Amino acid sequence: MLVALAFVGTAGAAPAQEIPPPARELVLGISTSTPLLADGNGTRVRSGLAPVVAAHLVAVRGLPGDMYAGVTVRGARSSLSLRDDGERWNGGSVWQVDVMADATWRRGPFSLTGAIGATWLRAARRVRPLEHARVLPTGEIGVGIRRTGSPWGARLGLQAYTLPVHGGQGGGVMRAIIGIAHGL
Amino acid sequence: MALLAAALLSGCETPTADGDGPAYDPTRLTGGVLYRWPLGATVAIHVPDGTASAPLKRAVQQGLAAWSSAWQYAELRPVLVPSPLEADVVVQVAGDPPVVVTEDCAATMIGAAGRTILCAAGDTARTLPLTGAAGEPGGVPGRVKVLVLVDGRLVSEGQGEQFQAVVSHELGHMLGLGGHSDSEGDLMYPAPAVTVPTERDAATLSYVLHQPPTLLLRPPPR
Repeated sequence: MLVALAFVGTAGAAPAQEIPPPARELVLGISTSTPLLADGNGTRVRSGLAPVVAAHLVAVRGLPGDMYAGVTVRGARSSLSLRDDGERWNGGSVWQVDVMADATWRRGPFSLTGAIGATWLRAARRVRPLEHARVLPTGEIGVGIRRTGSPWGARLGLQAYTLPVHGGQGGGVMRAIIGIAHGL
Repeated sequence: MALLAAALLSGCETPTADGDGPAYDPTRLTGGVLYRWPLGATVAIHVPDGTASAPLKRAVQQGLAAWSSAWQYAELRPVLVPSPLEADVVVQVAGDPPVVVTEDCAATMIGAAGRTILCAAGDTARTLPLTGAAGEPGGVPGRVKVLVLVDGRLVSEGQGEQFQAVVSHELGHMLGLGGHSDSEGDLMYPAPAVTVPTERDAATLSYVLHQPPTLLLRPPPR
């Protein structure tokens, strides 16, 4: 089961009239996630801190309740960090690309976003559970804040997806993404 | 939104994988000593010029590629290196001029149609000194921990398949398998008839790689 959240914000001191959100937005940030796998022999696999780049496009405005809908494309590259008892080693890099449709609700400078879509994961080396590239459904919820009239804002998102494991039991992975947004 | 949050909070158990158990005793030939390389290590392998060195290099490359099926977590990265000075392992034809000295250690020797030699020194393996031009210790310590010797006559007798089987088998010992399989179909059977590790061989090596070692072949990477 996947869910994604992300908040987007536009803001102002106390705007008499709402300023529409930027039609396009670029987000730079970092992400971290819960472990990708716990192996019965003691190995744990997790994705390290990753730089994230995202582009958000508002596609539909004027939805009921002052909501708007859009599309987000986001990419990140991190390294796989492995641990087994006292030993730690690097499992090479892993790419993650998300494509999500989202709906955002704004109130003053704050915004709340829910999104669903797909995430693509690919590791450079053969490391369970990413022996092969995977495309998985995902969801996200997020919050955002933006000063009125400023192109700059901040976003915090919490993404979730279920990772199947060959020869094991799939489970949930949660990923937090925090970033600076700039409207275009 | 509430549904999203509820879904987020549910089903977040970490993905899990079953651990491998050994298909056979990986310490049968070492008296219970479990040895392996540190996890994440690059294992540098040198094949010196000499009798049948070209087919030997090819066999080593093919053997390592075959054993890579045992890596589930990028545990090891074996590479071929041109100089014995940067090698952790030397693989050569038995009877060729020795590259390292093994005479003065109580070696752990594991043999099929080849031999894998390492010298235990407490909880690690002793560095095997490099030889000089006359076959004596050359004063350069190097970093070789394991010597693999294979029978080059298999090449001259046109038994290429058997040669590959022996090389792949000895590489299994080099990687951490200190035991033989009782199953004739396994690569780690004392007289192997196959050239690539079976699932049983790979599972046994995978098990070894994730056990606390009695003997770590070299200190872990920093």
